Order: sequence, then structure tokens, then C-alpha cells
Amino acid sequence: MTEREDWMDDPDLAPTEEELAEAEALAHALARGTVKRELEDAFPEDAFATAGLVAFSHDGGALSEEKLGAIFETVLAEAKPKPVEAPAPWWKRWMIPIGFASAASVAVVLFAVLRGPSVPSGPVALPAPDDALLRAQAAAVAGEGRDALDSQMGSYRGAVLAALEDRYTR
Amino acid sequence: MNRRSCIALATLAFAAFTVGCGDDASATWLAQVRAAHASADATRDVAVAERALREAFEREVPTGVAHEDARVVRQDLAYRLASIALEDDRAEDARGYADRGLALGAATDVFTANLYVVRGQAREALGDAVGAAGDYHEALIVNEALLDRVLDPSPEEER
Repeated sequence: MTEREDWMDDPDLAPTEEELAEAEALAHALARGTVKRELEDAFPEDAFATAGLVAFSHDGGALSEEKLGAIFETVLAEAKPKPVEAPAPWWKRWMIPIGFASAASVAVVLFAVLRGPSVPSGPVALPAPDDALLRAQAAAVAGEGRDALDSQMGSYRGAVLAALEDRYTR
Repeated sequence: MNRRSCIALATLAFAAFTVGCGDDASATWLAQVRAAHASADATRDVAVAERALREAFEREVPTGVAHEDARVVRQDLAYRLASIALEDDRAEDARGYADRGLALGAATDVFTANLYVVRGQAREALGDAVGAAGDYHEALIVNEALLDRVLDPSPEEER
């Protein structure tokens, strides 16, 4: 219990908040025999022991009917089981993860779209033509017809398209 | 939100994610080009071959395809279209196809050189000897540069 020197000089001085808390804790402990949870710090053990001895010498520790009733009501209120909430339906439990997954997918799509094509922006390094193709081309310029050129182009075209497909289907 | 809505939303998001990750339009475009070449190779009908190649040539190029890659593919289609028209004694059409191909750009590669070759032949057939000589000259310049690369490969030989 705290002490104030000026209390002896002025008994009418208003109690401090700390003294009020100690008084409440002591009153609760004397009435119920337990320390109120939120007043544990303010509980004055020495005063409780003294007051307990005085109370015990007066009535032998017996509780009145009124006190017994009040304690009984408190115990019943605290022991009363709380209502159990019904479990959420399955679709409610799945709605949140699906919503998050959908939002994440949309974010990824937006990122991909805003970033542009997934392939590098530069052209593909195409296979180099071989000398047979180039000689056929030179022959066509010289007036020897395009048959050899067209024949050589068939295989070169296939290689070029394969290189492009490899690039754009990755 | 009920169960069906949840499933529909998740499916839609997954589909959008799948489409966004790939480059399906470019791959489809290339597959269509390859199919057009195969169709032209397989038929003896000039009209069928020309239609298949022309549809591929005029099809819109997906934005995901690099400009130079698209040029190469479309110039090759234009070369084949010009060749078919020339063999069908339609020199004017052949020159038109070659012009459209060369309008896509010029580079030191086989495809540009081929277009100069076939346009020169078309001009020759049309009686434009000077124009034909000019195209043959351009074709030979590119062809010689390519031959030089083949005979003396360097790190810059790509494309």
C-alpha cells in the first residue's frame, strides 16, 4: 500500500487513482476471496492479510446468502458455454483462395501484356545460304532459268521457317 | 458469388494467363505460311497455288513478329507469286508481285536478291531491257556479297 506523508496532515485530501485501485482490489478480494484479474498490480497483499484476519475474527469466514448468490451468478455466467458458430459452407471457404488466385492470374496477364511480346525484339539469326543456292541464283541472273534456284530455295526456305518457328513458338 | 461464378472466373483468368504467356498469333501465322508453301508445292494448278500464296502474303502479320522476320517471310512469298505469274505468261503480274515484295525493304540476303532476279525477268519479258539490266545488276551485287560471306565467313555473316 502506498503512503502519503500529507495524508496525516489533511485527512480530507482526495484519494489518488492508485489508492482507489488498491481499495477496489482489496474490496473484491475480501468479498470473493480472489484477486480481480485487471487489478493484480494494485492488489495490496499486506492489507489483504490484515483485513482477512479481522473479517475472520468477526464471522469465522462465513459468507452471507447475498454474497453466495452473487458469486454463484458470476460463476454461472462465466461457465455458460458460448454459442458455437455454424461452419461456413464450402464455397465460402474456397471463395477467398480462388479470388486471390484469379487476381494473381490477372496481374500476371497484365504484366505480360504491358511488357510486350515474350520473344526478344530483334530479328532471328537465319541460317546462312550455302554456295549451291547462291550459284543457282547467279545462274538465274545469267539467264539459265530459275529451276535450280527454285529447287535450292525449297530446302533453304524450310530451314528459314524452322528457325523462325523455333523462335516464335518457344 | 456462387460456385459457378467462382469456377468461371478462375477458368477465365487461367485462359487469359495461358494466352498472355505464349505468342500463339506469331506461331499460327508461321504455320499458315508453311501450309501455303506446302499447298503450292503439292498442286499443279497455278490458280490454287497462287491463291494459297497470295492469302499468306496478304495476311496481317502479328505484332509480335519482328519487322525483319516478317519481311523475309513475305518477300519469299512474293518471289514465289512472281515466279508463278511469270511461268503463267503474266509478266505484268509478276512484276507487280516483285514490286510489292521489294516495297517491304531491301537487305543483303537471298530473298531480296531473288526478287531482283524475278523482277528483271518480268521486265525483260515486258521489253524493259534497261529496267531488267538494273535489276540483274542489283541481284548480282547482293549475290556476290553473299558468296563472299560464304567463302570468307565472319562474325557478321548472320542474315
